[in-house]
Amino acid sequence: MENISNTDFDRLEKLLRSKQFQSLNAAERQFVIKLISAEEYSQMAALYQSANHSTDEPEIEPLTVTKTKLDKVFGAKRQSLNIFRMRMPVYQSAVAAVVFFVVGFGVNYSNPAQTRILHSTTQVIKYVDRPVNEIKYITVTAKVSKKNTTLLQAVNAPPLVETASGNDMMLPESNPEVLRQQEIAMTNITRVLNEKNGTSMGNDTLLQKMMVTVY
Amino acid sequence: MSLFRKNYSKLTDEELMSLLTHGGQSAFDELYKRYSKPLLNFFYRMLGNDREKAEDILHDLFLKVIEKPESFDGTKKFGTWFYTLAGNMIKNEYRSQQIRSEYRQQSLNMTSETVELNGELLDRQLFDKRLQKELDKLDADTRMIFNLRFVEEMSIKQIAEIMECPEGTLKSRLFYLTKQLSKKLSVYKPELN
Repeated sequence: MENISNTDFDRLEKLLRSKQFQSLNAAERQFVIKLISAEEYSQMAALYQSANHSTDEPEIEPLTVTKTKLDKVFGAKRQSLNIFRMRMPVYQSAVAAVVFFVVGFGVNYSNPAQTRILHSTTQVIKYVDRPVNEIKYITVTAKVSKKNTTLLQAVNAPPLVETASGNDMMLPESNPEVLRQQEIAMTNITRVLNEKNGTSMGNDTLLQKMMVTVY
Repeated sequence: MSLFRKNYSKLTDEELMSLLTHGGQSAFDELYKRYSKPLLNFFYRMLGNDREKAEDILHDLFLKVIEKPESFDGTKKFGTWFYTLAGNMIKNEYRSQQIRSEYRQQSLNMTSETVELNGELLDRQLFDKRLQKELDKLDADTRMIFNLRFVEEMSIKQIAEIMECPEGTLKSRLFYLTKQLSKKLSVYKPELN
């Protein structure tokens, strides 16, 4: 695009609108020649003058239907605006204000116990879902045979022997009856320990120790 | 109460626009009276003498003013702002309907109708048709610049505001445009003066 200074354009345009090249004086011609050739000037002047003449075409008038449509839209818009601008007498405004005030008070005092939120913290409860092994303690009644009962009675029979310390009373270990009782006791313990159905003693070492201790 | 009635014809465009924003029907009527005809003719020329389309766009333009009067930029002159809106609508119309190709075809058909004319009138008619055809080849912006300057006869300052470009740039564009157009139209050499 060709550059032309603001002042040069204004001056050139003024000449193009008003004069043919032949009508220009010496100074004007000199000015024009600096910018464009004489032929270009003539062509441009013809365009300027003919373009202005082309505006002589008869102008058209807007249709009334266009205005009617617009008026309808404007009327609708104006109506919606007027709803918010309805004029109200002063006494009505005052009455309305008093009513709102009283109703406001009533609402305020009708609900004295208002909830005050002090902390708005959400508590998250965490728990671990783990299996609980419930230990059932079942008393096992061992079938004591007659023979055993006899033996147990026999166990109670021998006299207690005082130990060297003098504190504990023990049966003499050399007594063959005592040895036999011990053997029977061990057999019973083993049987109870090996019993699986209905007992949980297999997992309970404490109970096992207790039993052994008792025996 | 006619004594207190406002004389809307004496109000400025901007004052009328302010009244229109508050629902003033008379203000709208006055603005319509001022701008409807020149804008209709502007659309008519820009859209290849299609009256129906020109009316439609005129309607849509005023509809925008009614529906969103607050979009008026108070820092600009109303006329400038209004023509900027009009120009944008023309550009959209160009894009959507490819009116240029339609009009080119229409111009070719019309050329044959001028054969019976003679002398200077024939020269003028041919020149005008040829000018329209050349303008039709231009992009929407350049064509609008030409129309605003030569047909609407707006000032450079006003066109620069409408086109949102510096005055210097606009002058350079006009200079280049007239030079190119005149070269293409030199064949017709209409002796108008």
